[in-house]
Amino acid sequence: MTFVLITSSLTMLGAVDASKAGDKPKTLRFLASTMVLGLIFAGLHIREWFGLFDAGIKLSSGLFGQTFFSITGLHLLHVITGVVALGVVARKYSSGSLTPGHVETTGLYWHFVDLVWMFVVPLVYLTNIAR
Amino acid sequence: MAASGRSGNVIAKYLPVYFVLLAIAAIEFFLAYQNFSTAGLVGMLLFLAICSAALGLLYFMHLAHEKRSLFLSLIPATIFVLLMMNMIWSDSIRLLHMRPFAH
Repeated sequence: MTFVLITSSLTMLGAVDASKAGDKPKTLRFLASTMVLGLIFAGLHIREWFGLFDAGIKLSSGLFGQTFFSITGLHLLHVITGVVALGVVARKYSSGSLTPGHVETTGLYWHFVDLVWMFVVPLVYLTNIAR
Repeated sequence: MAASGRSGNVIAKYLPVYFVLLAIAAIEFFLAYQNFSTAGLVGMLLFLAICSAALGLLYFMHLAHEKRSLFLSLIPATIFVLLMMNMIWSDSIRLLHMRPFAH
């Protein structure tokens, strides 16, 4: 999941760069790649959640369940929102109603979501993984 | 906003940062399976997370290429956020003493 999200940040950089250079098809290709990677991340996340449900870990399973599902759930919500935002920006950028500045701003949001994940992984997953 | 460049070489330009971020993630996973105390592990993981976040902020979010005044203006904002985070420490200490909820 970390690999997917960091890779999506790289494709987002490609989209921002291509939009600044005025290369619309390339921008849309990179934005689509970022969206696909975001959806893969969301899919893996939901799959992981169902695995935990099967293991009996739920939101009501004490402090760990509440912390885990609230933090990862909020992050997942931001990823899904980002994918929707990328779709809207891609459509409006291709029609010419949005500028490369809008693509860059959406890119900053996407990188921020990636940045938050860099703290979620060590503090939520890794401190509990071998304990 | 950062200055624009010619399209096509940006992936290659930021590929080293990408690989460093992946390497940091791998190191974090390796450390998680070692026999450290919880406090020591959290400290190391937090340090690595701050390093990877700094790389993302400086290169992916282009802060390294921004004006120095913008960079400096983030320092008081960061201090403010850290001070606001103090609001939650009292809850953490209550949890350490196994008294999570007030009755």
